Amino acid sequence: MKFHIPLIMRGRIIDDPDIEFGARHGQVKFMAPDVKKHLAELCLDKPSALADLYSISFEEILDYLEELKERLRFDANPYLNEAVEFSKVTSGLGENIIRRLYRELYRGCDRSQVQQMVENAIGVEYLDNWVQKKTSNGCIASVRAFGARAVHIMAGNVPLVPLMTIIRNAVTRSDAILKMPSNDPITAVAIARTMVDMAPNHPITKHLSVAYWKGGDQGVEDTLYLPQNVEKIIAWGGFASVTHVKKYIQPGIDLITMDPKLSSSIIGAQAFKDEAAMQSTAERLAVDIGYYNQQACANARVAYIETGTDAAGLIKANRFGKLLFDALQALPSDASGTATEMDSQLVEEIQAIKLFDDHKTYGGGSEGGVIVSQTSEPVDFANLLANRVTNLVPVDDLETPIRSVNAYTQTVGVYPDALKAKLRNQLVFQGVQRIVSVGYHLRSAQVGPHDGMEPVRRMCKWITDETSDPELVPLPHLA
Amino acid sequence: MDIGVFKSRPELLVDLSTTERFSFDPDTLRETQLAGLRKRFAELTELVPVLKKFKQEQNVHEIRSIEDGALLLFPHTVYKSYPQSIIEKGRYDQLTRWLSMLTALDLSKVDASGCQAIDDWIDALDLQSDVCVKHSSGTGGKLSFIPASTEENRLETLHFNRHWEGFGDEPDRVVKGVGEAPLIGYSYRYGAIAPARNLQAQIKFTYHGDESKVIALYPGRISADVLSLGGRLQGARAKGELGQAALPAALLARRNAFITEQAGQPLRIRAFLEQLAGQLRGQRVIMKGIVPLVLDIAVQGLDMGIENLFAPDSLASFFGGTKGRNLPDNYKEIITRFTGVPFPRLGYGMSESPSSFTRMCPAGHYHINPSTIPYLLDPKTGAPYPRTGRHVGRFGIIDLATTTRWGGFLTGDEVTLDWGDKNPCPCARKGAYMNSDLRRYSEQEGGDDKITCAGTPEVHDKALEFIAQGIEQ
Repeated sequence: MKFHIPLIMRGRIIDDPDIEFGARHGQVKFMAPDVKKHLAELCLDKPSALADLYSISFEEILDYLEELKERLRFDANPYLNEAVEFSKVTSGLGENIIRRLYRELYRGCDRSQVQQMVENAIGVEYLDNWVQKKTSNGCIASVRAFGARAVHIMAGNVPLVPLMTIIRNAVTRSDAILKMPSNDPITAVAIARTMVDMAPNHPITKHLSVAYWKGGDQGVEDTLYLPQNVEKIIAWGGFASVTHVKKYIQPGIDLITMDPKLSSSIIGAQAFKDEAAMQSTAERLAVDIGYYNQQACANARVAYIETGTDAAGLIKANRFGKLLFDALQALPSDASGTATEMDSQLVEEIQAIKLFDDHKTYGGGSEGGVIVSQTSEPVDFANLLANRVTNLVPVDDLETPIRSVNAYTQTVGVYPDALKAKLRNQLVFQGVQRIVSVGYHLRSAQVGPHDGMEPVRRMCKWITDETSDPELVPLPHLA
Repeated sequence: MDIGVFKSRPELLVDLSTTERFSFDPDTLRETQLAGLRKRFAELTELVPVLKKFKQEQNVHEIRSIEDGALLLFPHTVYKSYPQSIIEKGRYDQLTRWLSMLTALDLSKVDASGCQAIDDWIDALDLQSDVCVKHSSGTGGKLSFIPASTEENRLETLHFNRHWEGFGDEPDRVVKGVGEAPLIGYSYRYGAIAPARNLQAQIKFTYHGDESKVIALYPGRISADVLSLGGRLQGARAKGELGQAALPAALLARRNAFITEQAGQPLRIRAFLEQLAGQLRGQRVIMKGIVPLVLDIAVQGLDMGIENLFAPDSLASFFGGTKGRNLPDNYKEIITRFTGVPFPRLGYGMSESPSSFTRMCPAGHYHINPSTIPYLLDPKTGAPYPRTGRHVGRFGIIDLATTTRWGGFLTGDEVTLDWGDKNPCPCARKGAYMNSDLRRYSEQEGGDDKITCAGTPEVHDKALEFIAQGIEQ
């Protein structure tokens, strides 16, 4: 199957099939315009061009997003339907799950949700006005958050990521060029085309471009990544995207990295007090592991279980493994299902450990699997766990899981909730970035922080205006 | 040639001449291999616990046809399925127990309690058993340990020594001097990585212990502990503070030793080149090495003014692909200018398999030796392709020359395999052959511009490269 991925440039759609690209090891091909031909227009070398975004109020931005929400309803949107066809081949998820992800996409534009996100992350008043601050020396200082010109190097494993980026770009009154990855070059295009149909001349539409070029193409990047064209580069995906970007980093370009992360769970002893408690915890943990087939950074992979490591503890751990495996199989099919393609490396690792007695394994094929360690050590291939394959690690106390958290950890789910308050500071010292109730790994509260920082704030330029009256604030040399 | 003997002793196939190796008619070869496969399976099932478990997992209880072997290819992960923490904690007795699951040899008497490092453990096995562990270079972060044996190494040497010969009436059909001409190994002299083990076996079995006939590029030992360093540092980091606390001082000391050793490398290469130029100039020699390394040495040799070093009728065996490096277009000329020996047709083999080594034929193909049964699998489903015509897929092999462990192995190589029945090779060798354009599946997957927010092994590998650079600096 062959697809056309147009270049969307500030409300204009360029559809020339100049270059053929491959995705998913060449199994799918797509044609896209040659971005090099359009670089002059793609680069926004006049920063003052952002001024038009200041003719609209925050309420009007919300109005725009609300209208977009209606237009992103899946059944009426041909572009999202086309995106499903593409993702069926590239995403590695089953069609049911893909359809659900696209069906639910529009909700991301929910007015109250966006408003609350902005309020929590920045404060609407800073985006709409200069906010006066108190100073003790008599200076009258005001602070305002302005938009910036940014290139976003996108991750392609979850369609919500491009929508979230487009919303963040709109609310911060920024100009965004989205550089799409080969595993999903199409979702952002579908959203942008919807925006062009809806309001081709609206400043929000005019400050969004979506392009595909192969990461590292110097013909594009040598020109684009210059401080006169770009102020911020927001790079998802760690080394894969940063390797190409790092040589362009210089004063005047702010690099924001959304690093790839892994997530895990800590289940306290209380969950194992009886069969009913084990059952309900297994059902909750299954959601964290199995939703969207473990493709997101927030999905749990290794779960530490405080069953103890003596014989009785291992019996409990193995029983819990069985319950968890069954719970994974019982997840709704539009949220989680049989893998469309297994990573052969993972398959072979599982094949190998099954030949020795250090682990008890339930399943382990395309249906998913639960590997129960029989010591308090996770498997050596923990970073390969995917497609609903998880590793349960029995522990005698919680010191092991706490100290296993590291710089690659994003979310840790903790059960019971009371344990969170006890553990959270320690978890943070080790590197954790988000702590949630078990069962809620994939339900972000969207209160601002992400990856241990506040990316929406960082997307802005924070400007001060300081007025000092010499009568009140003596000039330095007179002080 | 009494072909019947190979059915009960398939390991004898390794000592056939090149002409004999590639003259089997297909039915005889199939029968011989099937008998050999049955014999190995029957013998080793009871003695190699992992094979016993594997056949149960794969639901193979008897060998009805040669096709059944496709289900008995060990994934490469089997040889590194020990928990890394065993090494971190220095529990070498546990590592021995793990290894004993993979070999028919008895390791119950091996005392590894005094071992402080992997190198000690390898030495203990060498001294106290017939197992000669071979380990990988650990590029994936974890070493594989293959329980080869003294007998396996002997068979491997026999097999290798016959590969120089040409087929039929090819000009190089008769080769003289093996076991007499000095052998130059572009590798370490000591240690348990495959090329070092091969040199040791050559000295022992081909040169009957005459050390003076063998010159190694690096006269010292390649340390398994140093090779595992990157993986262990990476593992420690992946485990957070818990892992860092487990990093023993001895490991950090080896890290420093490694830095010192790296610093001394250029001097040693110089000494090696001076030794070659001083002792062997103009002589007929035998050379063995991987292409990128030989090229590095050639470049340095030419810098020192060393050209046309050896007699043109010397024997050279170069192999191993490019190891991910981009070689200059004229690398063959550079090497030939240095050695003075026509650039040989390249070889292909795998260290997991003692009799897989094969030299490219004049028509540019790698022919499969009769002692190894080839399999070609669909890389996605693992289903074997029919044993006829030509297919592209993942290559597997059952080596009948492994007498003390299971010889079934699935490679990570994408191979175009022709069974030779419909398109016989123009070189007149009979049987199956591979195109020379084989590549690793992992290389192929690196080409995508795929980005995700979830951590991937690649990320960790890159992080490992960073650590490695740190060590080198």
